[in-house]
Amino acid sequence: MKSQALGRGYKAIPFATLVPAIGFALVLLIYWIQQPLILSDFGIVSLCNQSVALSLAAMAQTLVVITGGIDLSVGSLISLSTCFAATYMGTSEGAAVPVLCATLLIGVLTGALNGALVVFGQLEPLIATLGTSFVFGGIALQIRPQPGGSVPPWFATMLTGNLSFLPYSLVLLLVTVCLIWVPLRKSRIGRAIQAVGNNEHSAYISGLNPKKAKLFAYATAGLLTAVAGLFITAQTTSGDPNVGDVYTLNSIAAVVLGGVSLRGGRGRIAGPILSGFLLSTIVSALLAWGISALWQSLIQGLVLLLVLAGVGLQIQRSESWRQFFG
Amino acid sequence: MSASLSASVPDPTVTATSDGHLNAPILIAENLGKSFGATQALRKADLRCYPGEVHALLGANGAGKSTLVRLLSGVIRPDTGTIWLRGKSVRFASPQQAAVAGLATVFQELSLFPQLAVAQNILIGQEPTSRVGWIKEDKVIERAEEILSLLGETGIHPSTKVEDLSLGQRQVVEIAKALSHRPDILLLDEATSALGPEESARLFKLVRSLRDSGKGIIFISHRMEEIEAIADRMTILKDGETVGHLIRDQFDRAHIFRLMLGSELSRAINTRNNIPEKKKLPTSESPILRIQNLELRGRLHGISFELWPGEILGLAGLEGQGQVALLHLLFGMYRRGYSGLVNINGQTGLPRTPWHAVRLGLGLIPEDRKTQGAILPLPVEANFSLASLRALTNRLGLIKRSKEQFIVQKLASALAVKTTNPRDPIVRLSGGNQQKVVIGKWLARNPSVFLFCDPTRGVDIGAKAGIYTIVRQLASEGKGVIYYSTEHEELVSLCDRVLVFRDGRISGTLEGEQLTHHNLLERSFGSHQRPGGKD
Repeated sequence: MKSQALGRGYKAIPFATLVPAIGFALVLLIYWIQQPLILSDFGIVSLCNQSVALSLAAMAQTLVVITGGIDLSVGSLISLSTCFAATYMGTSEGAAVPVLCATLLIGVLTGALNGALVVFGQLEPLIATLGTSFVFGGIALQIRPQPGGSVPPWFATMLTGNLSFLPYSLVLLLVTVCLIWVPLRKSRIGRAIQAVGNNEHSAYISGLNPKKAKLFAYATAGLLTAVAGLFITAQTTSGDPNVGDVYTLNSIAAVVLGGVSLRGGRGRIAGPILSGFLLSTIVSALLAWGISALWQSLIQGLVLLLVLAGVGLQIQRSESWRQFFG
Repeated sequence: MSASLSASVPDPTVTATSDGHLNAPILIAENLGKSFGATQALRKADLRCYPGEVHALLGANGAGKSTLVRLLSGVIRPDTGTIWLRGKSVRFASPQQAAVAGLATVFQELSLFPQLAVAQNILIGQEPTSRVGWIKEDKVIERAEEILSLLGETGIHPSTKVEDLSLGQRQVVEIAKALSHRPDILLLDEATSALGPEESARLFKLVRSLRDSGKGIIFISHRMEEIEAIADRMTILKDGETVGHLIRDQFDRAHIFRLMLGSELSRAINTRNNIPEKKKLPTSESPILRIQNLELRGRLHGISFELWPGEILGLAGLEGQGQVALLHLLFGMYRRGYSGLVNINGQTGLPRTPWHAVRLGLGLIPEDRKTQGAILPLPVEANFSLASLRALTNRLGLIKRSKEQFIVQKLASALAVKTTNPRDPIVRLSGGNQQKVVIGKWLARNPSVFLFCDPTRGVDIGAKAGIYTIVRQLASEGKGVIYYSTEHEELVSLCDRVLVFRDGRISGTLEGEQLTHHNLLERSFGSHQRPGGKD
């Protein structure tokens, strides 16, 4: 009714996007008061470099969550990507580009494997991706038991460098959004993914192919995760079988904070991306104020709970208990 | 009455071929049969729909209407028989194929995506795209507007999200979605059930104009007056078989109801004679439950009744007319959106939560045994004691096993539950025995009002008889019983009084001599004028 009154063409910024945006602005302000250098070119570059990986992982997670699933293998797939890329990229001059492509392909294939387990194996997404997370992590350890490896300097610069105030990491994020997210969002398959998350049975009787939509969502999530992994490889110039671990739960946190419903069917990408920035910046802001990094989890958790309490109030307004639990 | 019965049933084949149509039928369903497990939902269903007609499909609960709809619309495939569309034998792999082939369905349970816009819903899966495969949103809106304009002045904006629409508006969108496929045949399954009189009238105008443009419309409704107003012909189903094809001149309610009831009527008369004389209700006592003018937003309107100790009060009507909502409301499962005066056991007001309802002395045997009644992986004994754990725990809060076992044993033998070991998970019991345990759960708690929500669905005949015995026993002990069932037969034989529901209202109260199959069916389809007039 509301949007009807506002008329066609007008799109309000959803509350869900506004929350992390305001939160990020606040954190930035707090940071800046103590450390004005944060708004220098160096400050902005380091801030973006810190945040982009989580934002990319959150994009991957969002896609799966929209279908009504969850991806617990995000972290270990990131680790696997870094290990693979850092181990084989530096082997010879011409290896870098093929290895880069191969890493992305691994992302697509592993994502598709998750999807296949869910769609054809009829496994709960939670179980399927928990299982594959161990498999991917195990393969990462096989490739590279210890952190190490190398990447060509141009690769590191291409992703983490900057042109005055413009960090390349931000460019990577924007390019990813434009090349993967926007086309997906504007295509029929993207619409089908959202519809499946809304109501799978309705999607079926509306003539959509729920299996195809889910498979596509998981595979694309794998691709996005591999992009995140490549970025971390460039940032750390090495591969590490454990570097991705924190990203699994943090990506879920960013998705929830970004206003994407864990029940599926609902969500825009701006929220999770901004939440990635918010969650990554809180830590450095606190450090700037001399608050120990040990507070990190506690503060992140409180921010998350505060937002979720708001969501909880909405649930309280539902009409019947069945709706509430259903 | 029963003597004239066989004479008045027309030979379906005669009327079917003598309808004098110049055109060939667009759709022929021939001898369709479908089983689900051991249940034969459809045996031998026939239906012919011609271009330029509105064809009503009628049947009582369980006659196979919804199975036939799902077969025709491509949701499921028939076991036997053939569907012919425009002279070609077809077998739809999905509703999408059916729609593309020219048979679009407006489903009873809405198939919309609440979080997408109206236009996106209408054109889902067939969005116009640009060369690179991007959806042209402005074209989507444009086409949706075109389709919506077919439906007249709907007042629905194509870019509104469906979750912001009323139920009636959603129904309109659902119809627009079906029309987007430009079907030759449109299947409307209870398409008016959520609509107000004005919206219904608009829909009827649309249906007539579609008919006049040569399309065939298959129309399913629980409102007899609608069928009479709009249908050109009708097909009547009973027990999964087509028992009659009528053309408009032959529409006669008494005749139609006789076809829908068939031999069941005579069977019912026989069984009624076998029932022990129903006891007189005590008039000196006060009612356990008194309800006045109960409203539940969009579901129940002006419900008033009393339940006396020892009474079995039946709830009848076609499915989804508010019976389940009433039971859920009484059991505290709605949190808001209701009003009215309610008195339970002398306490005023409705329970706010199920646990509050239990404290007030209510027990619910829910409609879905597997997901709501029983906790399948738990042992039989744990299922028995689930609602009365407080009485079974000691001071430390631990469950007293000996007391639990004693009660479980007592209940299991009283209810004749067939189980080898009460420690086995309940899922190993047969459906009927599971249901007995669900009832037993409340017996252990000893409420004063039992709410039964279609307790014999999917239960074998032997266990059904057992459940009837239990219900009668409860009543004879002075409990109040509200018994919702989709089977008229058991309502007639079991209940002292039956409330018939239609569109969330009580369309009739039947007791004594009046409580017959025929009257139940008549009230379900609303042969009598609605109480309180149109809203």
